[in-house]
Amino acid sequence: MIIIQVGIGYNQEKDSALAGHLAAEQATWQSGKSAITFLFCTDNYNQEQVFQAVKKNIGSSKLVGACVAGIIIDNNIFTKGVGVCTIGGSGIQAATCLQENITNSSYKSGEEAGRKLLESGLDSGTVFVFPDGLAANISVLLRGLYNALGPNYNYIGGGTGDNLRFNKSYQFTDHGVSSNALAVAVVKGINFQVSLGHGWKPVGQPIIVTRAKEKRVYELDGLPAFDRYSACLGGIDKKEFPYYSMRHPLGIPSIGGDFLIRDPLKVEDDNSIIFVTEVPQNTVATIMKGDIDSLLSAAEDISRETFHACTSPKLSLLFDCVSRYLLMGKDFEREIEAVTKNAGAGVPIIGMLSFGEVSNISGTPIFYNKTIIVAAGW
Amino acid sequence: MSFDVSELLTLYDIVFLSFPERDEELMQEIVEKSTRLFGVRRLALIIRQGKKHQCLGHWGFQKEEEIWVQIEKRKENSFIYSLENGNLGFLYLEQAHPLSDRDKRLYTIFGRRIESIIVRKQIEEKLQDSDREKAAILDSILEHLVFQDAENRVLWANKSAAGSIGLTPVQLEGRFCYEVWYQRNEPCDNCPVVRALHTGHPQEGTMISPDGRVWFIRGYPVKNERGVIEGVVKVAMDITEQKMTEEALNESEERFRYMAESSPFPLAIFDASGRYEYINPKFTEIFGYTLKEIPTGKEWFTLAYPDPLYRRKVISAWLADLELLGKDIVSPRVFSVTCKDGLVREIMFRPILIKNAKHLITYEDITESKRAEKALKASEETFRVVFNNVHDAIFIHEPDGTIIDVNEKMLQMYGMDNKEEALKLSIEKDYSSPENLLEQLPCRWEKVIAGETQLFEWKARRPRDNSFFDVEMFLTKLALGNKDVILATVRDITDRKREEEFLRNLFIYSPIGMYIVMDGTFQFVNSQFEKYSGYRQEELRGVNPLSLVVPEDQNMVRTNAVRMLKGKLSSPYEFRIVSKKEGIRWVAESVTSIWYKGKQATLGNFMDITERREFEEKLKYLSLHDQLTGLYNRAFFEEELHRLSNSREYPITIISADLDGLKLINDTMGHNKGDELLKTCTDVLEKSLRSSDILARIGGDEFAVILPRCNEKNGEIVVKRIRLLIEYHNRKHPALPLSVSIGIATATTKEQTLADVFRKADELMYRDKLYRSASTRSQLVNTLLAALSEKDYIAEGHVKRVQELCQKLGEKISLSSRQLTDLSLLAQVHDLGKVGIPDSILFKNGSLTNKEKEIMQQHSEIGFRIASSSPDLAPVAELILRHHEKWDGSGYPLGLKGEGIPIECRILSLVDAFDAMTNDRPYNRAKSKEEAIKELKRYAGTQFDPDLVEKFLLILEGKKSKTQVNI
Repeated sequence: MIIIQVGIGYNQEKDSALAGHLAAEQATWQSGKSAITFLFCTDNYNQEQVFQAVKKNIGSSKLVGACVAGIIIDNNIFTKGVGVCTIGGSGIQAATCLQENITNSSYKSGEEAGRKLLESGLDSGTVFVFPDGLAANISVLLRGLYNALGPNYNYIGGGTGDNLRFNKSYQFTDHGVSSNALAVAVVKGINFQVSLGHGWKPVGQPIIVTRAKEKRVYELDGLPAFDRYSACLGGIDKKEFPYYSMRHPLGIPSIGGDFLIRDPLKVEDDNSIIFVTEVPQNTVATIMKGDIDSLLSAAEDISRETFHACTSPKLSLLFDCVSRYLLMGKDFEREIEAVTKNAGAGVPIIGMLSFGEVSNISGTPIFYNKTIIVAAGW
Repeated sequence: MSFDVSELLTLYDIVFLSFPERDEELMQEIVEKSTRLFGVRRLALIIRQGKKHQCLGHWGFQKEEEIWVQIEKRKENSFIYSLENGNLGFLYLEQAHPLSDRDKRLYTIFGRRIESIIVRKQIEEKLQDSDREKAAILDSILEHLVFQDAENRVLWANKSAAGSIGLTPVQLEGRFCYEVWYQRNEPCDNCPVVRALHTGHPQEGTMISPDGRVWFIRGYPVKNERGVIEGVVKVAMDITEQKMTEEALNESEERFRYMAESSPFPLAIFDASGRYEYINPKFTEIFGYTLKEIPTGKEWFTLAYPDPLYRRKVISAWLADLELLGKDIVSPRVFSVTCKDGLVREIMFRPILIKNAKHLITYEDITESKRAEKALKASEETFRVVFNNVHDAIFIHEPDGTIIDVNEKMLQMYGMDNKEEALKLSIEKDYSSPENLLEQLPCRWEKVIAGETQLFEWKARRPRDNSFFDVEMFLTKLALGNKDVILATVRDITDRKREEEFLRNLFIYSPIGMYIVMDGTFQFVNSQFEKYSGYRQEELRGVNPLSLVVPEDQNMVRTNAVRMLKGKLSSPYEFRIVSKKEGIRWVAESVTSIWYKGKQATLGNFMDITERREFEEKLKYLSLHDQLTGLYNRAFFEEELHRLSNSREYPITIISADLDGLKLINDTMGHNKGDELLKTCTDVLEKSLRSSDILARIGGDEFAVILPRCNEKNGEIVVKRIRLLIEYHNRKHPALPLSVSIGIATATTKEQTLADVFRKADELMYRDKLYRSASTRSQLVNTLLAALSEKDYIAEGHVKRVQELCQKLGEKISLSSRQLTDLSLLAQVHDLGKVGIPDSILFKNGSLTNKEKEIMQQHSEIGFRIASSSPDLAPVAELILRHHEKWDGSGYPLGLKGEGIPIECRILSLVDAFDAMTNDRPYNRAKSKEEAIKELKRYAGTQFDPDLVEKFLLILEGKKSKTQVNI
């Protein structure tokens, strides 16, 4: 039986190297020698300096992580700071890959990253995926990754992004720091119980995505996308779009009667709509609706489901969409509380505000939006 | 099976596969849909090419060989769809869990859809081959292929096309397609082939042949080198089975009706003639109309749109949409529908053309969202109006201070001409005074973005004229689009500051003690308060105000302060505080509620009224007490009598006491002695009583005592104690003995009024006084004479000598025995009144001043009063009064002359003068007898009676003479 030692460190010193050093030191002090290290860093820091400082402290441990919009540590959400989670224990094996330039050919990049991980000889385990949430066609990237690795792995992760500025995001592995990259790690020796939910419900009529390319949807039902979207909401003005889009994303049908949420971001001059994540063409979609109560209820349900399924979790990883954080405002704390309450005392929790969430809970890794993923490890 | 939106959408999604040109794109679409909709974790599309199989694409397999291994294993979680019964290849789908019936059904639909695409792709690909090969190939395939000219005449057809109507391809040449396949005289409505001819672009659509079969038809226009359309290739595929399958799953009447019945949206179906065939329950629920009420569109339009003008507009739009349906996508429309209950609802209409030229309309009630939308817009407009018309300046700026927007008031307040100019300037550099703590601003902004609000005072600057003014700033976070910005509300508080300054000065320099209390503790006190309390502001900050109040008064202060704050009390209330330096002080306080530093606070002001209170206390004391003895006075005594009348203090005993001889003492020894005697009496009485007994001086010499819960027996004990103490006192102080007459009476029940009981005690006291009066007076006179003899040092033997000479002279002139007795007594007590003359005058060396003489002369009258009060001396009282009268009338006090002066007095005057001259006095040496006689002679006829002088000289000379003197 593998005994897992988990350490979590967090620091928000102004100096990048110091913050990285102190956070890593705090984590490794708790876990001892680490096999895999997760590093989450907000964009207020020099990412390279943080990375180097952390790396110095974790010895030969593999590392994976990213620049994120916010860090969740236990019961708190921080929009500034460095969070480090180190996991040690004999029998835990890890391999990492930093796949760069993923935008050019997302599918092939995914496949290539998968092949590199296969070279480690780890034939099963959990794959932690941190793609640049601002850049690539991540759904296609994940399909490529899966095509290489296959169904013997669990997949979990989140799109990375800066602090809501949409400028540049960074991904880390022990190989280095990069942008427009996929940071991915496969970890063997730890079991994870994963649940996801979002709390959004369909309210509209079917709409056909008649023309779309990656994140840009040109036409819905053969009409300019915004015109149709607006009509579905009873006629809204472009100025009102940010308000309505936050509250009325598109849902596309998914396995098990569920919906994949696609978050509209902005309207272009030609009335096409840019989404946070790619929307497939020739898909039937519908308008979704949710409120804080339904979102919180989903968080509560999946947290209960996750922690009831494993008797003695050693840690919990949380991937929570940044748009939920924006929509909920102060109530977001209640979402985290739902997780911590169900996790119980003594279970360390680390998480990130993500730009899209990754899970293979429905079979293969799928890129979700406006969703919360809770993973309990033991 | 319940109505499930996601299930319906999934079915839709499955059939919405496109016809991508490249196999790779088709694979991506298959992978995307199969993973998302079914959770497929591996798939492969294998196409048969002759006897060999070629993998068109696979996903989830690390190596292609694994596909065949998996197919061989064929577990229950995998599904294989044979394309064209295996002739075309197969589709392999694998999921994580064993297949359910639903999975198999959905995979079948999915496979069928992919099959049709591949078939069509193959056809299309083959069409591009050479004519010969094309013909050969096309003849070999099952789809109908026809090449026809611009007039729809068949130029060429494959075997399948010709065989479908029992002809050969050659037999078809030159015939009109609509005539051959549809038995029509003209082209079919909406035929894709006709449309392709007209538009020059490929067209597709479904057609139903007279035998009821459903055909998917695609028309490809064929152009010559000049681009002129020469004809069109028609590809017709029999999709009857496929349609039936799909319809069976997706659009079966039963399923549709089930979904429609439970649909959350109103639905209606009407046929080509405008007759309603079906409306669902939701329709009736929303609009109120039943199918009977709206058998056709005519009734619907009449009822739903009562306004003829509006109705016309709706019908016009409706007809236009019907025209478009099936040809183009029709956008939803929103109309205001009048429901049966008269309510007007905003309804979004979506018409769909379904089979058999029927129309399905879905209705969505968007009244609420429209209303909300209007409210939102109104709210935004309101916001804009408010934004520009509020009395505060408003900045909206980025977290780094970059200004995004300002309102009209800001321009006025900061003296800016226009918004463009205002937006260019900096909050820190241009709109703020350098005196501010500017470095704090970014920190405040950071806190606001983190969710806090900030309220603070600031010195603002007008960039134009570099003038400054005081403002209050309120910062809060505002979500603007996707980002957080800061809303800064700025209020000009120049006037308020001025007012505050004025009030502060008023506060500080007020002669009234003032303080501000917030959250139960002192926040601020003025210097006058410090003076009153003795504490410094620093010592009081954070202290509970009640802690200064003496504990007994705290509840009263709390109650009154609350009442005053509630407006139930208007006049100041008085209480005691413990001053640090001066101990307990009385203050009068009033409080009011104020706003201080944004919170409700209490402003208190009070004055030190200690002096006034002390004066009042004294007045109160005086009004109830006797000033001399400190005992209660008559008013209090009577009040107590009244109070105790209704009390439970019975039995009550009352003692009435009267100080005997006070008047005599006052008259003879002066009021000081009388007061002394009263105090002595008070002491004696107080010592005899319990602390609960009430002792009062109710008159000049009258005392009264109330003894609550005291019966008659115990009252007697008290009286005995009083007498015992009097006796004891008199033994110790014989010079001024105390004599008190006492009466006592007891009320055992309330039936006996205390006034009556007091009256009874008083009567008994007077009886006692009568009984005691004679002996008292004698005792007093004796005491006085003893006192006089103590003073009579000037006349050691004087009285005795005078008594003898008077006796001789009286006898000489033959006075009666009574006169002789009186004369003897007069000789003894004539100077009795001198007990009331101060020793300083009585024993003065040297001559007396006029004033002193006047006092000295009073002794005649004093002596008269004393003697009058004594039965023993009363006979000589008149003589005592006149014993200093002179023969010539120059004596005192009455100025009698000659024989108007009693003979006893004339004798005494003569004898007293002789003895005085012939005996030493402290201030005068004795004269010889001759000298004295000489003096007597000298004053005979002026001071002395000349006859008497003559007779007296005879006595002195030892001669006897019997003379009669006029008396």
